[in-house]
Amino acid sequence: MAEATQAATRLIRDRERGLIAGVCAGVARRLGIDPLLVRVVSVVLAVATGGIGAVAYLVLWVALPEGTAAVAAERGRRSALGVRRGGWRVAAGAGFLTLSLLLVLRELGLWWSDAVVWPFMLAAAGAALLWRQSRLSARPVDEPAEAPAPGRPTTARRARTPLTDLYRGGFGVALVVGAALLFLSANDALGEVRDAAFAAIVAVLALALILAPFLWRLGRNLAAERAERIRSQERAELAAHLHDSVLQTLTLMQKCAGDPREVATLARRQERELRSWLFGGGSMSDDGTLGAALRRVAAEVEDAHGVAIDVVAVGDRPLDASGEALIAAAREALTNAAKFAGDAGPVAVYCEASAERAQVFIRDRGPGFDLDAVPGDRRGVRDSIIARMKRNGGEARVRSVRGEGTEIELEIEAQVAT
Amino acid sequence: MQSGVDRVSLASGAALLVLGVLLLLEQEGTLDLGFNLLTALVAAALGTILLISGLSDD
Repeated sequence: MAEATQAATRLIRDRERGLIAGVCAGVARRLGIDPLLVRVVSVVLAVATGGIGAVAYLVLWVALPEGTAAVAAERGRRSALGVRRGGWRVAAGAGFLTLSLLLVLRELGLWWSDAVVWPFMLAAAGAALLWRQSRLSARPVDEPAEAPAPGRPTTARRARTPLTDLYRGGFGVALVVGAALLFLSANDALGEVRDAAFAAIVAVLALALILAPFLWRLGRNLAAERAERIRSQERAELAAHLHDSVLQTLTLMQKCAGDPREVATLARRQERELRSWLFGGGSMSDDGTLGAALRRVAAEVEDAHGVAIDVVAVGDRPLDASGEALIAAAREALTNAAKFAGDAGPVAVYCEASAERAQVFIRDRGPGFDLDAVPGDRRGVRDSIIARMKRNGGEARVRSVRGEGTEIELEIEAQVAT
Repeated sequence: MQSGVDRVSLASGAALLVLGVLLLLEQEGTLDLGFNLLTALVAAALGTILLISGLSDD
């Protein structure tokens, strides 16, 4: 990025957009203006200085390096802005053709004054620019003008902004108006208009000076008012959300103050919702990842059994078939912990996931149990946890100590089961 | 390897060819164009090339 910026601002000879050696195009690229303007100024300077401008051009030709990568970067930037380089060629072509026609007419004797040559040329160039601009403006932005030649990038050329349209159109209008003024001036028809135009310009400038402070203050007031309106909307949205969620939950908690488990459930549900809203994770509604699915399952078990479940997840990965099996086993383990160890404090869930594997630890401080002593008709741990994990290429380990609690470890590789 | 015809090059070449032929005829004395007409021819050739080149960018 820094190199591209540096390349775009460096003064070079732009051979790709240049007519002779790319000096004017390089200067225009450096100044960020149309090369046509630089060329016109260069020609005027060359004529006005009696050839010194041309010598300066030659010096720059020798002194300036030729750009390639920088030019490409700049071309990309200008293309993104919708700046086309064909406009000046159309204008110049129309001007030269008009000059040719005028010379032929002059040779044939159909002539009245040499003073019309420049006005006609400028008018033709301006009209050509306007005509071309009207064609481009009428065309949809994403419509390709023609099939791209092989090897020619055309993707960014369709991007066009109203500013560049205005710039092109304004330049054409300026050429035509300038030609008309030049024609009138050459025929001494501008004398009467000049005084009135000068008076009007002075009046407009005076009016602008008078109104400028008011307009400036008005603009600043409008900006401040807009910022205040945005802040008010944000405050109103925050107040509405707090009323619909937090205040309602607090009211419910007051009503069931005698049931600590219900109060804790309400508080934790509100906490989850508020965190989700504040941090915008969308974790409660989006099961696209293993961590999100685990948090959702924990929230459901927590709501169903009124037991606090603390979930800590490190790393994440997309939810695939093996992940779904892992989540199903974790739900069973959480349900067991909530049912049999809910009174012993919160259930802790720790999940560590990577692209290759995932591990989930579910720990409670309940009375513990002996897996071998569990009756055969109780299939929860054996089928829904251990057997399910094995079927999907994973493993479940149960560590339980009577009186101290239980820890169930679930481990599975990614994309083992399909 | 590009295929197809580059219209800008084709038109430019044709314009320059016509200009060259006229200049040659004028040089040999077959035609007497004069300075004004020669300037008009050069301007016409230049204008044609620029116009076609510019329109090809649309």
